[in-house]
Amino acid sequence: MQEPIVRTEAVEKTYLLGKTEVRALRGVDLTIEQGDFVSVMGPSGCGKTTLLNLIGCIDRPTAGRVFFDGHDVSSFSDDQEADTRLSGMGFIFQSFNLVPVLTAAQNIEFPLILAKRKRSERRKRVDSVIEMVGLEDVRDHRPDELSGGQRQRVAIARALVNEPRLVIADEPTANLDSETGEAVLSAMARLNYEDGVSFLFSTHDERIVSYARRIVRLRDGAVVGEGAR
Amino acid sequence: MILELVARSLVRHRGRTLLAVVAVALSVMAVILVSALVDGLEGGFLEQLTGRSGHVRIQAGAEHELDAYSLEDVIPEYSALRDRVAELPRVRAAGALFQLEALLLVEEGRRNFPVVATGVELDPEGRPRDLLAEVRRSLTTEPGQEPGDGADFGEGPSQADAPEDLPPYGDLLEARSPREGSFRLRSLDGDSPYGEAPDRETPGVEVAGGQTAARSSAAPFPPDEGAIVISQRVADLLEVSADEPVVLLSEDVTGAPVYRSLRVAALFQTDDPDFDRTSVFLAHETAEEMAYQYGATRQIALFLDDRADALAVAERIREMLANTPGAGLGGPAVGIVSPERSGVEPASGEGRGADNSSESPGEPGGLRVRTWEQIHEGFLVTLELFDLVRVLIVALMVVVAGGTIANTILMSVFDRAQEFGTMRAIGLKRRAAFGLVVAEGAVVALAGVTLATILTVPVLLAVPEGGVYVGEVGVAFGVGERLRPVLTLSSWLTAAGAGLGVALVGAGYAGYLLWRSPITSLLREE
Repeated sequence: MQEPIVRTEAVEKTYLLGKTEVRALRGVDLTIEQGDFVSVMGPSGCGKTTLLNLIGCIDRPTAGRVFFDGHDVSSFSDDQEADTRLSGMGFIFQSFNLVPVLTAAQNIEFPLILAKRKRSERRKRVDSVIEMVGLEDVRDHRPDELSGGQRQRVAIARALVNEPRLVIADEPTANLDSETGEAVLSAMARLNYEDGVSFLFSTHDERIVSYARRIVRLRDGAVVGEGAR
Repeated sequence: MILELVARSLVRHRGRTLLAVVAVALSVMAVILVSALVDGLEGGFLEQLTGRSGHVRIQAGAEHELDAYSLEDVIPEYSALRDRVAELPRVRAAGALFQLEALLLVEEGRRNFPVVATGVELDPEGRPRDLLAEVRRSLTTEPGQEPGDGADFGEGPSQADAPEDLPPYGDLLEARSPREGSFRLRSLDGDSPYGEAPDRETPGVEVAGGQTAARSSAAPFPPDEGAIVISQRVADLLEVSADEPVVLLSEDVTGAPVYRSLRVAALFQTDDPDFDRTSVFLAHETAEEMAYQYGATRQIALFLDDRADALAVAERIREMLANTPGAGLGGPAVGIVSPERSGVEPASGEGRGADNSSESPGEPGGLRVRTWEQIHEGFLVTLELFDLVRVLIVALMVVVAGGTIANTILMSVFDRAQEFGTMRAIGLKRRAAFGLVVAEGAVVALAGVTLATILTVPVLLAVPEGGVYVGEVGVAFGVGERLRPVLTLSSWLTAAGAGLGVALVGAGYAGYLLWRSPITSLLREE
C-alpha cells in the first residue's frame, strides 16, 4: 500500500498568549493520500491555519508527530524543513503574499532560484506554469498592477512551479470575490485532477466546499468530523 | 535575481534607504574629516619637531642634553662626519646646526631680547627643504607681508652699512653671563682681538657631480654671513624690520663676550609663539665665528627618506663611530686656541675640542646619536593623545551613526516581515534571509561611503598647502592659526571601514532578529 503523503499522530499545539496557554490543536490525527483534495473547515480560531502550518513544516507541534512522505518532519532540522518546503510543498496564502518588488514571472521563478535550477530550465518551467494559470498577458506586471484573482493565480503558479507533491492553501479565496474565488478553486481542482497534485486547503466558506473531495471539520482544535463528500 | 531583489527592495523603500545612506555618509565624512585634521596636526607637529632636530641627530656630549650655554660640546671638523653620514643608505640629507645663547640688540642696546641663535648649514647636495621647513615656509622680507616661500630677497645693506660705535655691551652680557671670571669684549665687526680666523674653504654649495657653486646671494634661508633671520614676533618686540641692522651679542667658547652687527635678511612666523620668541637664525659660519669654534658644530641633523628608518640609521652611525675611532673628530676644532696662546682664561673648564677624540662612556666617539623619537619622547605623548581623541571621536560617531542605521534597517526589514516570512515559507533558509538583509546593508554602506567620498575628498584635496586660516579659534583650541587637513589612504580606509562596519553591524543585527523570528510570526505581520 502506498505511503500517505501526510500523516499526523496526536498532534497538539499550545501557544503562550502572555501568561495564558492557548491550546490551538488537541491531538489531531489526519492522513492525506497522494492526489487527495482535502478541505479543512471550521470557524475562525478553530486551529485550521495551525494545522496547515504544522503539516507545511512552518511550525512545530508541541506534542505528537507529523509525517511527510513517510519522514517525521517534527524532528527535522531547520535546513531540512526549508528543503522539504522548497522541494515537496507549495504554499498559497490568504493574502497572496507575493514579493512586491518582483514581477509576476519573477515571483513564480523565485522558488526555482532557491532550488538552484538552471536558467534555461527555469525559463521553460515558468512559461509552462504561466500558461497553465493563464497569466501570459501580465507576466511582467508587478503585484500591485494585478487584480486579486490574478495575484492569487500568480501565487498558485508559484506554489506549483517546483512540482510539489502537496499544495497547502490557507483560505485561498478569502480575499477574492465569489466568482474569482470559484475560478481559483476550479483551477486548483483541475490541477489536482489532471496532474495529480495533492491539495490541502482551509476555508470556512461553505459555498466552495463543493470542490473538495474530502472534508475535515475542526472545532476548538480537534477533528470533529471527517469524510468524503 | 537575489541582487536584483536587494536593489529593488532598496529602491522601493527609497525614503528609508536614503536616510540610511545619508547616515552612513555623514559618519564616514565625519571620520574622514576628523582623521584628516588629526593627521594634519600630527604631520605638522612631526614636521615641526623633526624639522628642528632632524630624524637622527648627532651631537657632542654623550651623556647629557645639548646645552646652548655650553659651547664646549662641539663636533670639531664636523664636515667629514657630515659627509660620511650623508652618504649612508636611506639618508636623504644632512646638515649642521650651531646653537648659541645670545642677546639681540637694537638702538644701541636700548631694546634687547634673549634668544637662541642657530647657525644653519644647508646640506651641500640635498639642500633639504625640511630642515626648519616651518621657518623657511613662512619667510617674508616685510612685516605684514603674507608669508610664503620664495619671497624676493634683494640685496640688503652690506656689512659696511652696519651701525658703528656700538656701545660697550660687556655690561649687559656680564649681567646675564652664567660664567664667572674676566673676559674681553670681542667685536667681529672689526679686527678680532684673537687674530685672524684660520683659513677655510670658501662657503659654497656642492652640487651633483662634485662641482661647487657659490650660494645664491638671494637665498632666503639660511641667511648669508652678515645676515640674520628673526621672527615677526621678535621684530615687533624690538621694533625692527627686514633689511634693518641688529646686533647679536653672545659669548665665545672662552667665555668672552662677542658681538656682531647683522642685517635682518627676513622675518618668519610659525604657529609656535614660544619658538618664534626664542629663535633667530644665522649662517653656520657666523655662529662658528662668534663661538670661536671654527670648523666645529653643535649637532648634525640627518633627514631620511622615511622617518621609520631612524632607529636603523642611528644604529648604523653608532657602528660606524665605534668601528672608526675618532670618526669625524679628527682633532681639535680649528678655531680653538689654547688659553696660553690667546692670553684669555676659559671661563670654566677646558674646551672639549682639544680632547674630543676620547670616547665618552655613553656613545662611541664622545658623540650622542639619537632618533627623533628619542629626542621628542615627551612630545610624542601628545601625539598619542591626538590618536586617543581620534579613536574616541570615531567611536562616538560609530555608536551614534550605528544606532541610526541599525534602526533604519530594522524598520525597513520588519516593514517587510511578511515578505521575508513568505520567502522563508517557500524555502528560503534562515542564513539566506540573513544574507539578504546584510547584502542590503552592504549596498547602503557602499552608497554611503561613495557619497561621503564624493563630498569630502575633493574638498580636502582643494585645501591649499598652507592650510586654512582659522585665526584665534584655532589658537584657542591649541591647534594653531591654520588647519592643514591631510587626506591619507589609511584615514579614508578607516572611514570607509567604519561606515561599512556600522552598516553591516546594523544590518547584521536586523538580520539576526529576522533569523530568530519564527515564520508564523513573520507571516502574521501586516
